[in-house]
Amino acid sequence: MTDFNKKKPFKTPRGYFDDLEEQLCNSEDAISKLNPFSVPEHYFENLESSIPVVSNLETAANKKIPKNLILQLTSVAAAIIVAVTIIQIDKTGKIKKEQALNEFIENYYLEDLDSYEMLSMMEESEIEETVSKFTKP
Amino acid sequence: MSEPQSIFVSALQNPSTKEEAFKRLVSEYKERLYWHIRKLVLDHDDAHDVIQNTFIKIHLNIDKFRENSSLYTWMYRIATNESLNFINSKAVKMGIQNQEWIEAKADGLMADSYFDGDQAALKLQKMVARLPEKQRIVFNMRYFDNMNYEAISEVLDTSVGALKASYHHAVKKIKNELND
Repeated sequence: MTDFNKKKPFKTPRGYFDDLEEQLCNSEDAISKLNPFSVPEHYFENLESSIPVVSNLETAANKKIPKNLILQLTSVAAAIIVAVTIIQIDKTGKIKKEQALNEFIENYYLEDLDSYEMLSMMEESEIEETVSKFTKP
Repeated sequence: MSEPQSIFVSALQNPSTKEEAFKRLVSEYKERLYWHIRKLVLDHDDAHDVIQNTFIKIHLNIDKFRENSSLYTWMYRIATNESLNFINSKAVKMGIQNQEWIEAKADGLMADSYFDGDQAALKLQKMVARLPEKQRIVFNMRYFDNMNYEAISEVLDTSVGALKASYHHAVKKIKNELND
C-alpha cells in the first residue's frame, strides 16, 4: 500500500513554470507593460538614411586617392612654401639693409657736422623759416 | 532573416558584400535595438543619437565578431554599452551622477511629445529610473523585453543567479513603492 501509485497524478500545461513569473507579474497588481513611448511618424522608414555607415561612410572609405597624386601634390605644396619663404627673407633683408644705411648716414652727419656746416647744407628759405620761428616773441 | 547566421555574418565580413549585408542588418534589427535603447535613455532624440552610434560601432567591429554568441546578443550588448556611455557622458557634462540624469529625464516625460503613457505608466518609469543602474537594465530587459535570464546573462556578462537577484530586488522595490 505504501508504494501504491506514488507518482504525482497532476500535470501542468507545457512550459507552465517557465512562464509562471511572467504570469505573476501580469496579475491584477502588475503594471501595464504597454510601451508608453512613441516615435515621430515614418521614423523607422527613414532611419537608415540617417545612419552614416549606410548612406555614405562605406563609399567615402573606399574612395582611395592614388599615392602618386599625393606625392605630386605634396611636392608642389612644398615648393610653393619654400619659394614664398625665400622671397620673404629676401625682402626683409633688403629693407633691413636700406634702413641701416640711412641710419648710418644720418648719424654720420649729425655727429660730425658742426652748426655752421649744417647751415651750409640748408637752403636759404629753410634758414629764414627756422630763424623766424626762434625770433618770434 | 531566414539564412543561417554564419552565412549572414560571412557576408557582413566580406568587403565585396559587406555594404549590402549591412543594409539588411539595419533593416532587420533597427526597431528592436531602438526600443531597447529608448527604454534606457528615455528620450527619442537621445535614442536616435545612440542608435546611430550603435550601428556605426557594429559596422566598425563586425570583422571582430567571432560568433561566440548570437549576432543579436552581440548587437544588444553594443547597444546597451552605447546607451550607458551616452548617459555617462551627458551626466559628466552636467556635473551630476548618472542616476540623477536619468531621474531628471523620467521627471520630464509628461512634457515629452513622444511619451503617450498615462499616469500609471509615468509613475512606473519614474520608479524604474530610481533603481540602481544594473537593476534598471535587468528590469527593462526582463519585464518589458521578455528576455530570458540566459540571454540577459550573455548581454551583460553577468551570472544568471546575480541577474535573478537584481530582478528580484527591482521588482520588490517597485511593488513597495506602489503599495505606499
